[in-house]
Amino acid sequence: MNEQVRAISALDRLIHEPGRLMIVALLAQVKECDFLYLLHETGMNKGNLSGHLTRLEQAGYIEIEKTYRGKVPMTVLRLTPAGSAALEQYQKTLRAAF
Amino acid sequence: MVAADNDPTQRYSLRPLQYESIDGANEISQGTMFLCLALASYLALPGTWLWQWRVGGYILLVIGGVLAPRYIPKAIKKHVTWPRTGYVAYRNAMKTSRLVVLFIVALIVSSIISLAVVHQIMPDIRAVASHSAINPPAISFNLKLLLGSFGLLSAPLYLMMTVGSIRKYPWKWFLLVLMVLGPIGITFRVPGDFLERIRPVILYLGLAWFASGAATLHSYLRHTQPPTPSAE
Repeated sequence: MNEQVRAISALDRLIHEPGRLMIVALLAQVKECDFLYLLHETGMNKGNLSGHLTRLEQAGYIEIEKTYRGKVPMTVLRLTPAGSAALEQYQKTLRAAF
Repeated sequence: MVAADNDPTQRYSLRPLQYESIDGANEISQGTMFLCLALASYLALPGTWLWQWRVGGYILLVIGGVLAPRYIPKAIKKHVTWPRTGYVAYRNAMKTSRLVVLFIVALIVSSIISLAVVHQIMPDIRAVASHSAINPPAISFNLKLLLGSFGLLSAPLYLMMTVGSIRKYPWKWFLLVLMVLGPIGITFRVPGDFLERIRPVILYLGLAWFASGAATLHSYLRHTQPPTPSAE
């Protein structure tokens, strides 16, 4: 029982934060998406979303590419293999804990 | 242990598929396909003034069979959806949802039912294939049943394409019922041989699909706004 409870402490705190968990979980389902899609899906404001994305990028969990669609600037985001592995590990730990 | 279904991160697995159907683009495309097919079949109708325009039928077949499914969803996504609610590229359509499996199962079941009906009415189909244009044979009850089941075959595809929006728009359930029952009603009401009855069935399905897509797109446009440009 103790081990099961202690498994909670092994959760990746970077992903565990609800805002970042939303982002990583959404990115895990797609090849890539843009900033606007995440903004629309998560309901966060631009500042919050931008902050979470920066932290995830610094951890190497996501890739951020600044590009253009026509003349409109676009921020394309995708989950890295490290991010994918981290999410998988997070899910495993969560299942083990409950 | 928490079941996989209760894993909060698993709940997101349907989102991309739901987002795919948010704008009704695929329904419009499917509706255009059916409408082009129906119009082409009317243009090929001998003995009417439309017959003079039979070349237009081939053009409609190309538009409906090749251009509509490829370019209509792409154009709507590119010019309407992505600028409003964001761009998404899918990893692999087959991985997006377990509903794909559900769709395949539903399709197999409805195909088995249709095959059973076809097997039952094979002599009638042979009769239609060998009929003379001057004196077409009367259409049997079983053949009517086959025509009527076109809506049933269309239903799993409709459910698959509207999986994300059907919860938001409950009227789509009503449309689904109409889609299944409509062809049965047309088949048993419209006089004529097999070909004369199949045209209105396809036209009806095309109109149903198109109306569903257009209403979804209209609602999407009403409830979303392009974002104001600012730093991301």
